[in-house]
Amino acid sequence: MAEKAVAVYVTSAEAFSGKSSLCVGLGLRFRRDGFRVGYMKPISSTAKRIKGRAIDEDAEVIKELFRLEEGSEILAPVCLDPLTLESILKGERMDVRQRIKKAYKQASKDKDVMLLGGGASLTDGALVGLPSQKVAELLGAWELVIIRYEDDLSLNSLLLRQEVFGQSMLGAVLNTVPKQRLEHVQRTVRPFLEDRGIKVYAVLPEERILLSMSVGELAEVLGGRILNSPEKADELVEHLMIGAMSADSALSYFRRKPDKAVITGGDRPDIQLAALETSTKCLILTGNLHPNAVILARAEELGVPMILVSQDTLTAVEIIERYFGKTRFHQKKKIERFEKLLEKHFDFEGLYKALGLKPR
Amino acid sequence: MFEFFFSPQSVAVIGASRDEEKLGHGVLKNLLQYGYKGKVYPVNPKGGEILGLKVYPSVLEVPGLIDLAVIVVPAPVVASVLEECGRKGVRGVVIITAGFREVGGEGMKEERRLVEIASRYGIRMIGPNCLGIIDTLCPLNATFARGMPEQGDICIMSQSGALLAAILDWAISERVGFSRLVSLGNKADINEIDMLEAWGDDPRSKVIAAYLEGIVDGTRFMEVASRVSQKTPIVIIKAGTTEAGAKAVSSHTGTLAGSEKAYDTALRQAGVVRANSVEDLFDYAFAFSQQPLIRGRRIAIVTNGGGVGIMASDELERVGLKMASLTRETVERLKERLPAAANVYNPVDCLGDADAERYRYALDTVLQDVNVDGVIAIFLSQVVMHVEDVAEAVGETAKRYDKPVLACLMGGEMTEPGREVLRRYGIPNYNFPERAVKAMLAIYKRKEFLDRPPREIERFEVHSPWAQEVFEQVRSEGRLTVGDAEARRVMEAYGIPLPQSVLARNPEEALEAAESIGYPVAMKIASPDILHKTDIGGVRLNIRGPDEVRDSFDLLNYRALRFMPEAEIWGVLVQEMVEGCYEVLVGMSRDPQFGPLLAFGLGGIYVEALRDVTFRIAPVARWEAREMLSEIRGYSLLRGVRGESPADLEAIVDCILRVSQLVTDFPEIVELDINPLIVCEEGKGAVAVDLRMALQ
Repeated sequence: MAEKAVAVYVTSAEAFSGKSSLCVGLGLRFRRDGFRVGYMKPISSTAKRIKGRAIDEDAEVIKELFRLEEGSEILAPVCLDPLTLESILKGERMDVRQRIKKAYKQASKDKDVMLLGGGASLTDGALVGLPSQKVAELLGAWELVIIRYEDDLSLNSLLLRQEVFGQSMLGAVLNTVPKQRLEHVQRTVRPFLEDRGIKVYAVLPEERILLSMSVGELAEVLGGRILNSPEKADELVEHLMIGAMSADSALSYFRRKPDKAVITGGDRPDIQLAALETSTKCLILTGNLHPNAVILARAEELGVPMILVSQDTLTAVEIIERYFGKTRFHQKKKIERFEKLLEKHFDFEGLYKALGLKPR
Repeated sequence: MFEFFFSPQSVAVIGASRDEEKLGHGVLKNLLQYGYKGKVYPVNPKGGEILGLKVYPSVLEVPGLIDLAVIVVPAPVVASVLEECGRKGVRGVVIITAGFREVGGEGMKEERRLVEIASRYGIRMIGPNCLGIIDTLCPLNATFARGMPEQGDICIMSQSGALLAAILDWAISERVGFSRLVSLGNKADINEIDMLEAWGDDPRSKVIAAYLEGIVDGTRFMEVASRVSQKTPIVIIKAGTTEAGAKAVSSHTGTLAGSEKAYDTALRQAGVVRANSVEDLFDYAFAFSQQPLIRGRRIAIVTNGGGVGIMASDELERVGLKMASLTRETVERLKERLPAAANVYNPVDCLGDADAERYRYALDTVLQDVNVDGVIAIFLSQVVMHVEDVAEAVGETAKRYDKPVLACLMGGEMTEPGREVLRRYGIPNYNFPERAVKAMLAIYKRKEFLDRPPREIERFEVHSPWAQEVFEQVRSEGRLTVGDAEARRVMEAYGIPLPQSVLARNPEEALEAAESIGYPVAMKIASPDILHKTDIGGVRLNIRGPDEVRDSFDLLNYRALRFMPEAEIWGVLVQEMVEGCYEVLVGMSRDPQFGPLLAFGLGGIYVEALRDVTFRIAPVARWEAREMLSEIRGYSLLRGVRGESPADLEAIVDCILRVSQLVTDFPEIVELDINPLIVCEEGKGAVAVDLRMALQ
């Protein structure tokens, strides 16, 4: 069977809008429906250099999840890490088109569906002469656009994409819709878009857990040290609270948010205990002040990691805020949650019909 | 109870040592030196002989039965020694060794091991990390402290070994007697509750005194303390009451200090008298152990110095006791024998030249007065006075009446003989009048406690399944905060009156709601994250028309977005405008130690500004809820001042009781606030306008 794979190019208007999650969610479902699913990220702008090689983390994770046999250089053929970018700027020639086409040929071999991880914006890839729409064109892919819906102005970017992609735009997914806006989106926004020929495949409500960071990620971005219960590093933190009040009011305050990280000084044992008393995933102790042994023991007993960081509280918060909601989807819990969300809200039937796929 | 601790037939000292510097030597020596009459078995693997006794290499080789073992071996071997005690059938152990939970990490795990071993063999365990125990009657001194106190009727337990050692030393020099002393240490097994139960039954212990940093199980503590304090007064120093103190306790014991409000409330409810200092602790303990109960709050002062009498009067009034007003007959009788210059009204001043007889006459006359419930007898060492004689007169006179008499013999060395006489008569003596007054107040508070009606908890007929459903729903969505409509449903289930209210998510819904409720309406931003709505202008009242409704909807959302950009917004609540006279607050915050702490106070913005709030641990009886009302400073407002009509007090009481039942039925509610509860005038009820609720 040498029939060509159907290609879906998942793209967005901004970083961290859920492209990779969507690729994973769709791919896992396709697999369950009996399709042979491939993946490729034609141009990676977020590649990291590990052991002398540019690596795209999404591609690595998806390779595992979809059990792909192709090598990293096929799944992410063009990695624009800072070093590569510099050499391009200095005049090194790279036949990007050729490289992508070649890789795609291999990656899509014996596949029914190819999911393509797209750029974060229309401009992505322009530096190497291949902005988003050109990539899709090159590979003959349908564009599926995912955006973060904040308010109605978020729709601008969607309509702009329709202008650019034209007929090859498959449709849209509205992600992270605030709960109180759901009804409005369903009732008003969806019909509006569909009237203009943009098929809305899903309206996904905002879920804290998908915006969350893991305890390990928090430690990483803060350059901190996990003092206890390292086995809990994968636990997801959904809220951030600062412990700088009197011990009396701490408890009432901490009771307001579940699955949170509490930032407080290492010299506030009272606050630390109050936080441990409530739904807390980790404690971030600022100022490099080591906690009291008794409290450390208590945290260990409860399995709540304490992270020792050198920043003061304000700086730590600023750093975390920069990353919150902007992390990768790589944790199992997040993937499972997103899959469930898609099961509930995504119009798979419509998608299959549009792509001409028949699930077995 | 615990006879094997306090009057054991035999004691093993495990870790007994020949080296006089070692604690293991001190314990053995104290046992022998202070007259313990049972069998003593020193245990040490090195064997031999210590202080003339044969040393056994292990408890297992001791020939007879062992009631009590005192363990003084290094921390790493305590567990194996305890295991041997178990096999030997030892009933109680006192573990003096330190290096367990207080050092964290491994120490904590090791302590858990001790608990496991002890429970496997059914051994009761005091400590680890303690000073030991003393029983003066047995007598048994199983501590490494120096000295042995006299026999007395006060028993004392302490979570601090060092403090207990210091108290012991002081008590010996002041000749203060004790029945039993226990150093609780880390409270791995036996804690303050066990001791309360044991001592509540001990006829020799007339007062239980304690120094505590934390309480293990608040609910059970209250249960036991309430029962015991009916018979035996309990006086407690609870350390860690201030922010700084609480921090210190947290890092000392690794337990959340619990809020001061909760401790204060719980102890008071259980009839426990709180002392703020070691001085207070003994001032109260002596008053309780040596004086009869009081019948009322009317106190007379007899003095030989006018100035001190006035100071004492001031203090009496300040703390809420009453200066007794003497009967005409008493006044006449005093006039008969006291010099013309003497004051024959309360405070009765016998003048500086009073001798023992004049003083005796005055005190005797005052004690006979039916208007006098208790007397503070002040005497200063003046030139002509022989303090022994006056002390003799006070002691002898006081003995003949069933009214508390507290002495205040002021002065230094010169007065020591008088003090000795008072001690002999069992009259508590205080250096300064303020201390005597505080002790008298403690006596009076005890009377108030004993007079309280029984705590009968009413049950209202409610629809608890409705509340149950709401909580299940909230939990299933992984939330902690309960939405407004959900909270309303819960309140409805428990019969708490609510205004009409609708959550609107857009201006059209708001308009629809306003029309169906009828103008005027109130509109409020609904968000689990915005607790102080008025702070951000999140409340609009008296909205009278459709345009205003639309505008308000936008305005409230705009303000929320502007001032609280991170807040989750549920929408806007459109509510019936409730006209009432007063705003109060009824709330609950679950304390980690004592459970549901009910709060009542003036509501709305006054809570923050005036902090006029009072507390009780739920469930409460109707009389307790009424007491809450009368405790706040704003009570007079609620009763109506200057012709204002009084508030519907019974409606507030009802609301408190229903909340009390709700939070008792559902331990998963950790926070609940009705603020404001708008109270109408008498007979017209109260309405819960704003609700906030959080679950575990």
